[in-house]
Amino acid sequence: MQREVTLRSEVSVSRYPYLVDHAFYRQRAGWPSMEDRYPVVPMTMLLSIMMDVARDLCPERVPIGLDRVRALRWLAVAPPVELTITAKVDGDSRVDVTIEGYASGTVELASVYPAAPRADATPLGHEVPPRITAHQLYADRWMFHGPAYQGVVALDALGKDGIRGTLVSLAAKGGLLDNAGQLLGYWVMQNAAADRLAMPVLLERVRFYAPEPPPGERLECTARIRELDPSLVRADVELSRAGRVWCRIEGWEDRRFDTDERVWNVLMFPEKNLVTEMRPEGFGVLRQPWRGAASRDLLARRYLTERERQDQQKVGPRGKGEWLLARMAIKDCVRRHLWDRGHGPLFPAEIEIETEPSGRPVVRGPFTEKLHVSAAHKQGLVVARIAEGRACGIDLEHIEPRSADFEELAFTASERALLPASEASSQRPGDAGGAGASSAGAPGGSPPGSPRDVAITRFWVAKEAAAKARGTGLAGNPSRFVVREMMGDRLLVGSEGQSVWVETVHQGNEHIVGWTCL
Amino acid sequence: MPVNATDRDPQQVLVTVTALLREVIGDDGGLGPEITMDTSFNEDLELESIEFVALAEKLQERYGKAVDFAGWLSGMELSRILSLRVGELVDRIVLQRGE
Repeated sequence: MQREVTLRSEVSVSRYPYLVDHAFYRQRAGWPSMEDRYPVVPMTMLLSIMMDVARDLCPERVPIGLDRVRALRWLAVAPPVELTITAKVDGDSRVDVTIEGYASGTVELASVYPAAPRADATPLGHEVPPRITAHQLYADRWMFHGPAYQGVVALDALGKDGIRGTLVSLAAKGGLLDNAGQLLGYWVMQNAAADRLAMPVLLERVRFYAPEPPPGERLECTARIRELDPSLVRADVELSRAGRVWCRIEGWEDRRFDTDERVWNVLMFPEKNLVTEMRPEGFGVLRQPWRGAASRDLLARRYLTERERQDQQKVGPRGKGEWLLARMAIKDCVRRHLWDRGHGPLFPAEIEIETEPSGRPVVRGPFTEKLHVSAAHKQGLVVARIAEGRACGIDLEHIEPRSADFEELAFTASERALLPASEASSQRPGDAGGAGASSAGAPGGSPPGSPRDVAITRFWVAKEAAAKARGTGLAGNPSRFVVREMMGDRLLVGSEGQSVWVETVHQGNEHIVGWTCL
Repeated sequence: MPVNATDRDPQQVLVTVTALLREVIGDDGGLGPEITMDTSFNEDLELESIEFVALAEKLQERYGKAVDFAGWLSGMELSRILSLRVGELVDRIVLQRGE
């Protein structure tokens, strides 16, 4: 016997108010945007929803477990989401449930719960007392969960291969199993040097031996790690009462997110930490800290506001990653600047960036200072600079050999005269009558990183930084800003009778950064 | 430099300019944005200043100095450069090569 039904169900914070306590991103107290806090449905609540559907379809049967429950992406509920749920009843013991676009799994049915096996009492390997208490798990923000999901009441033991704790059953749908997931998540945080954030994506096999315990009941929980690789952690999890198993999960799989030390600190205490590294010269440097899209999106939500995320939608595919990096770096520069002047904690979302049509970023936030910012990017690397009460411009360029044609197109004759001679300068640029003569685009005769390549890069970033300080950038027309003089790493750039000194410096071995303030 | 008949055919020139643009923006596989006469350098392709120079370099290589992309840009107002479309460059090349 087979039948299939399709249901619709709304999920929102008004229907499930406790989901506010399952919001990923802490914001300033009283923050007006629920979207910025990003309440998401815990994967364990999806299990509950699947079992509810099966129970409704087969009221005479008992859901005793689930197989291969897979979460595809975050189910964020601000704004509210209407779910389309399809359920296929297969015989009298299986219901395949798909929550369209978000999750799928098979609910296993029986006439009664099977007899509860004895809990696995095998000790963990090298058990030690955890370094923190269950209270600190939440108070010190190891978990993002608010009160409705704070059901870990004791951390009992931490082992090389697992963790034991005591949980209390909660009113929130799926809360009890979410707490088991928190134990597993904490184990990863304690046993991985990097990529310490892990979130559930797959539960291979879940079996229940009794109905869900009512709120307030205590359970022992043990997670035993079966596999830890760079992108995932897999564990078997057991929840028991009085020595008998209530629920056993085999193959609980968490996906790990790319988080280095800086990213981790920003995720934990965003209002006091920066992902951007501040250089002593006074600019910020940020190298793309993510490897995959999931980790990129995690940071995007950490840094951007609702309105900025709308702007992000309009950015073309080419510039998306660097657009985000630039906003992160600018917000970090602003926050550093304000902290240095005695400002209290600031969340990234409190600083909002708008982009003028010319591309110039404008910042606003809870400050009265007139702050000007500028940012530049190149291949996953971003630099940003801030100035108070005066305009500033920064640019970044890769040091590479440039052709004679490039030099001629990018620089005036007077600028070219200031460049150091190329090491193999048998042929000066600019002497080719037609494009054909220099058509190979032959590099100017210098190896990469030669003094001439470096000087060309310095010239370029100096011109661009000066142009950006004026609010426009070169915009395809390098002759509007002309290098007039060079003193070591400082270049004097002129435009329409005005001149400004631009500082330049190496960033690593391969890039030059230039900046100026008017 | 010999003038090919194809250099006077806007569609042929668009094909060439598209290929050069893809080299400049590092999209050799052609997986990036579609490029048509109506594509804007700034908003659609997000061309940076240094890439304008790189494009000028390639155009000069292919079509000779008369196209003078850089010189053409230098005569423009900023707002005009920001709204410049690929079709306008193609028209200019066709015009220059027709002379």
